[in-house]
Amino acid sequence: MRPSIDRLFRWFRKGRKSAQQTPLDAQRAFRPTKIASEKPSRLFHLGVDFGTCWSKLVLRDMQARTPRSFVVRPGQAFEAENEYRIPSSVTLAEDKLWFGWAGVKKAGTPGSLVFESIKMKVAFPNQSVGGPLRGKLLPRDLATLVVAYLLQVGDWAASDYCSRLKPQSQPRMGMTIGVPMRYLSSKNNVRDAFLEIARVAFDIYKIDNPDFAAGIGVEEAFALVQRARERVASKPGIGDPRDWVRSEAEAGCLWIFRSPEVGEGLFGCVDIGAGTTDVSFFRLTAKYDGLRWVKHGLAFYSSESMPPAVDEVDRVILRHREHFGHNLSAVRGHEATLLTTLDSHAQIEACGVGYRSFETYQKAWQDAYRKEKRQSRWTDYTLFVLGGGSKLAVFRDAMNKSVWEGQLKGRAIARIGFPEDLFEWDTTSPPQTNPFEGDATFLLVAYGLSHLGVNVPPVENPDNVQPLDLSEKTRPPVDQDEYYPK
Amino acid sequence: MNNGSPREFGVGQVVRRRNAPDSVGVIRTRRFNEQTEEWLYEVQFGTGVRFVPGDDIEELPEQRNMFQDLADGRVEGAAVLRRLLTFERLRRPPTRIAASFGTARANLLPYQFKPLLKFLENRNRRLLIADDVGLGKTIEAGYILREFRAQHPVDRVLIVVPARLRTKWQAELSRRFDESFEIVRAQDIRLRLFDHLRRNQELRDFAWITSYEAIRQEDLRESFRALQPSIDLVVLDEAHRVRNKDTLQHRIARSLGNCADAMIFLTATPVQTSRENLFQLLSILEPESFKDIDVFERQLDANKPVVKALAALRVNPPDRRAAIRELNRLADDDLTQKATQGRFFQAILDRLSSTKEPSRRTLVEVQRDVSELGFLAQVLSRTRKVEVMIGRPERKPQAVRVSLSPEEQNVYWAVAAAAQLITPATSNWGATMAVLMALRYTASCIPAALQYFRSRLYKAAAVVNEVREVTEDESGWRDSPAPKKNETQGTQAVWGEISTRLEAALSGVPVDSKFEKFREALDGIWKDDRCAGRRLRKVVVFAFFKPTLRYLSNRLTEQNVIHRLITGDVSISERENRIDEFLSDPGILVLLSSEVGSEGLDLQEASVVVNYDLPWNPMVVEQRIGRVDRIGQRSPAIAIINLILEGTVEDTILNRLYERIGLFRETIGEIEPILGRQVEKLALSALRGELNQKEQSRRAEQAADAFHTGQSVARHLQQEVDQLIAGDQAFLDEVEALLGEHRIPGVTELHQFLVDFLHDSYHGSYFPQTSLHKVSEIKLSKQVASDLLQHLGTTPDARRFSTKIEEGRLHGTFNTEIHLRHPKSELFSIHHPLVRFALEEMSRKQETLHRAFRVQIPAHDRLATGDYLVQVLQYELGGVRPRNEMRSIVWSLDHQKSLDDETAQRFFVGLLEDAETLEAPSGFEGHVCMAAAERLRDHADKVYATLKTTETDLNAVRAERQRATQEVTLHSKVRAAQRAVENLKRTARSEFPIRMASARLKNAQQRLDFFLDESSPSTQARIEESEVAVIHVRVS
Repeated sequence: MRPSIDRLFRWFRKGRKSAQQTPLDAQRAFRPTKIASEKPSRLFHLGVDFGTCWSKLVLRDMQARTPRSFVVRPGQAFEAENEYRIPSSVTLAEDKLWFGWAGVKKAGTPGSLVFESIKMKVAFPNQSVGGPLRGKLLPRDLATLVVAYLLQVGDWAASDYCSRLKPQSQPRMGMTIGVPMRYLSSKNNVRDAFLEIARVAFDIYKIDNPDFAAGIGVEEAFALVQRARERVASKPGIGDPRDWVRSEAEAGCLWIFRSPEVGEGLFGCVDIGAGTTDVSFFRLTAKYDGLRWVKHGLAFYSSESMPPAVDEVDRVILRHREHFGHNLSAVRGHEATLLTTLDSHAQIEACGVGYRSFETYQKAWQDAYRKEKRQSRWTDYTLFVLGGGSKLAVFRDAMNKSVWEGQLKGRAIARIGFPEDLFEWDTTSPPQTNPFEGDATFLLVAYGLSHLGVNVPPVENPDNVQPLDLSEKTRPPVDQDEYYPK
Repeated sequence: MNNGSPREFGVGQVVRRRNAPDSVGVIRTRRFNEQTEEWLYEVQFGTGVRFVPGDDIEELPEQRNMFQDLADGRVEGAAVLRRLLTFERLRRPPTRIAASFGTARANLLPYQFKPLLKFLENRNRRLLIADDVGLGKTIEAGYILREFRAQHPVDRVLIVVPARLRTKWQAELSRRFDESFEIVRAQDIRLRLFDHLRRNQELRDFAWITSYEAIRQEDLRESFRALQPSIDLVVLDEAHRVRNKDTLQHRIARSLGNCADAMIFLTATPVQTSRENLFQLLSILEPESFKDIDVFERQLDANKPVVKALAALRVNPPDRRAAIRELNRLADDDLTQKATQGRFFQAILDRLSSTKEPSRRTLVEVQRDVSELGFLAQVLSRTRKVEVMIGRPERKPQAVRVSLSPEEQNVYWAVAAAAQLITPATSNWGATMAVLMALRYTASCIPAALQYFRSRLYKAAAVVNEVREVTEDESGWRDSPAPKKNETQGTQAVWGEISTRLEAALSGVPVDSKFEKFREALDGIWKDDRCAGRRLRKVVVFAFFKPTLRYLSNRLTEQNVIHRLITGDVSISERENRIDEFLSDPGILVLLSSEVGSEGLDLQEASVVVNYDLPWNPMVVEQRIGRVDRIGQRSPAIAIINLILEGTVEDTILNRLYERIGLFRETIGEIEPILGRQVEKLALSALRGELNQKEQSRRAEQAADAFHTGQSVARHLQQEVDQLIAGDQAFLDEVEALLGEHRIPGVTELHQFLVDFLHDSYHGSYFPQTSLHKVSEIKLSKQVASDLLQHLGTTPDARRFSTKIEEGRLHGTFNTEIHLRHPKSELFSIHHPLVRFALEEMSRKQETLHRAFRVQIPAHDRLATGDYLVQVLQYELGGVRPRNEMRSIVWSLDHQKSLDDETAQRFFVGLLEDAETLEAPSGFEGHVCMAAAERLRDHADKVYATLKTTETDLNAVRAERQRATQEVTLHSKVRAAQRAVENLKRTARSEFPIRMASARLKNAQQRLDFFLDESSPSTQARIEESEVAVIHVRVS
């Protein structure tokens, strides 16, 4: 028999003792309505930055007096050590699938198999990244399970937070996952794949809620996903897809949109993650609301998402520091220091990675330029660099370069500031709002996704943004403005 | 909190957030959330739109009931409470001086508001401000002008000052109060005032500054007397100049007094030679009250018990018995006996003899009433430096003697020799000026003077006029008449002679000994700083001769000493830029300045003054040092370096005299202009060779002795007068309470108020926290500018601020001190257009403001732990002393009793300073809350009833006293106005002056009728109560 959700949380908080204590119960009803409680319920929204290597979660309390969101740091209950980064990999060990930090720990077990870059495998199924999958499992099944696991972590955070509120309340939670904008606008079925992953994972979380922490057998996992997929397929229309899936670029730029320090204008945003460099160019548009001009929406001119990114730099380091073996995790987070110890050949190689990453930036800029061909507009656009790669000189130096020959100097990288409503995970009662101590650039995507889909500004994707009309009518005199020849 | 399933809402319904009841909005659309299987509602909150779940909102009740909100748990936290209290205090400030308090670009010094409070108290609108020199009388006058303007239409203002202070006044009023004044000459007054009146034309509005020198003309006096133009406010600075009743200046002041609706005299020396000085000043201000010098002398003596009673009340704890004893002595004197017979006097005694220890508020009120028994209290305000300036920096003068090289001596003596030509019999003003100036230029800086002489050698006739262009010591010559033809001829002769004598000396001066000594002195100062490991001191170098300053600038540039130069030639905005750079950039250590350049500026960041040349007017020396030695100076010592050419007149006369009278060591107060003229005369005698060096020294000593004797007599007399003037502690208490009891929102509260307002209404605007303590960049959308203009109209400050927003370069601060160092930045005070705009916007939706709160504050010795219910109430009191009061009434929920007035006031201060949102549940059921609220209301009713009774009684006796003291004055004003109308009807050639005088008569009559009308609002006690907030406070 399955334990009640209260028992489950007690179990989480005490620390896990036996994996057998939380068997699956596929027939379980929708959890929030099942629990008979006098507690008032409270709405949360979980921003799931499902990354190629690392995932990050930001939980937003939708009913707080003032805007309030927290960085989720899973603790002992998930065999984690309060790290906000959660591994996106899955480990097959002892005939079970292990997720998150538990999976990383199991990776050392003899005969274990680690599935990395699962998200990339969903997007590029033909590219061989990591080891082969077993049984009937497909990359998208694994991705679904990882997202369901992340939702369970978020649910734990919401319950923990609610238990510390006075009066206590009972959480109900929605979620949004992020995917690179290029996947959303791609003509293939990648967008649909991620939408399905989000819906099926949410269904697993709501209905089955397996004990991921105890590991799940491969067959059992396959059955779990299949049942959920069938349930989702039988449901009527999906409403607004943006409630489920939004682009990482858009989410990462949400704080830029909201920040009072940033006005309307043209922006470039480069997110250098583990596997890919995601670049987008967009304009913050303004609208007259009858009283005044207010920032209204984001019009994306272009987006590009391509390898290489930090992983590639890690590989360079591993090639030149053989004692680390082939484990990327061994060097992750220490790249800046390690690069300084490498010889000049290795450094040139690392710079090459930066340059290839810059090519992604350049390509995105070229696409954007097709939408807005006034040179003058491009002389002072604002460039933001986010993600783990933003900390590495090889990428920063590359992004500092001029993207077109008409511009003598590259754009200076702007400071993005810090969301005023993003707080550190807190275990006191009642929860305090302490500023997040780490680097917010890693969390901007999860932060952006923690806003309800309906509460974020309208976004025009590159496919929808039409090139600017440069007909004679609108063309200003030559001495005032100039045009770049096509 | 409603825990049931969320109800559904319709589009267009007005709702508010349950957890933030202050957020009220309208539902626009709704949609179903598939994930959580519930409706989400799109609600327009202010200018923002967001989707919220159904259980987060509730229908807005039609009528807000703060007690019901509290009982139902619809409460807000500390931040919204503070915002509400800031709003209410800004909207109806609990002070009479809200328009001026904290609004000037000056350090906030409570004593500077004392004259304003006295001015407001005096229905005749007459005041003599006799503060010590250096306490900011200009600022005090500015506060009066600002407050007076806020309460009455003030269209015509005339300020009369000594000529050398005209530009200072103009700059101060502009810089600190945004008041634009025009400097006018006698001719302007004739043309634009009297010719207008004679031509029967309507008078235009004016804000003029003129000099005594310009206005002391018989025809002007006669015109003022005969035509009596209506002037709303007349200010006389250095009013001791009008104390001699035989002078034209005195008569002019009397005529101005008849024209003025309000009149202020400013002087640091109301008594110089005898008590009669003070009497004469007061008799101009209030001729009806001060008619006879003998009576005045008796009045002063009869006033002593009042002064002693106030002194007894000032000590801590107040000696009420002594005060009563002294007050009873008033019955012994014929002059004061009448004052002891009324109910007013009895009311004072009753309060003083009450068995209950009086609260601070009561004590302040009693002190004010007691001071009204005095003769001078209403018309005289005096603050001594010793009372308010504690820990003043020590002045450390250092004379740097410069030995001239033989070549330099040749030049100096060649110029000095020309003085031998000047004789009283043969020389005119122009010639005398020319030779004196030539000598002063040479003493200032030989290379600069030589260059100047070379360029002017053959243009002697132009030199007298050029004196005005190259000299910047404002010593009074600038106001002298233009040179006449024969004077120019005299000048030519002198210059011809100087030219001849200089021919030989102009062969070149290889060494500039003075500059070398100057550099040595500077290096010495900075070397000391380095050795002591402190920041290098900033130095202000003064010279009166502009070529000297330019020369110094070139030399310092050659030597890579970064500096800034300001003279009267530099535009005001550029001057501000340079001052700003000097004050804020630690790398810029030297400011070269003329007196005109630095007039009205506060340079207290510097702590070294260099007198590169010595002015011949001692007041100019005082002003130079005063730029640095002023309130706000943090350095414990000010170094004053005087560069003196050995063996010259500067050495033997000026330096000797200035040192003897202690000019460099201490502020010696206002110096009689006569001393300046003595110096000049003495120097000229020395130059003409009439005095040898020994005689020069002796004469300088004699002048110093005479000065000391005069000063000593004046000090003695002033001390005597101080003993006769009632203390004004009550007024200072009132001002200090504005800060201590937060009757006026502080800068932090103001900052938060603006941040919240902009956050709610103008998303995208940004007011950084750093603006509280430094100049910061502020981002405001351009929409703020246009809305601001739309709502506030095109007032000059609204326009100025809007332009800045539109230009996109807005830097500002809330800190006055910082703003003074960065005069181009914006100062956000309660008077700022953005604050007024925010206030106006918030007032529009005040009906929807949430007024129930739950907070916690920390316990301390006077606040015991427990739960309390606090109601904040606003009382609007009318009558003789109209005011707004914000009070809190406290009910202990644990002990079921109310707290006393003083503790309740502490609660109010605690709420503003330390309140935090109370997240924990109240622990009180709704019905408990409502029952407590009922008790609280009962208590509030009692407070209201007591306040009403007390106020009505006190108001009645105050009105009675006021009638007794001021009715005579108002009657005589009516009579004087009647006489003026009759005179004009007989003599005036045009209609307009008669019409104006008739209007003045009508005003005086109306004021009298209004005053006599016992039912008029100005005398009837009136009290209106409004509920501001109810708060559940947990003290823990």
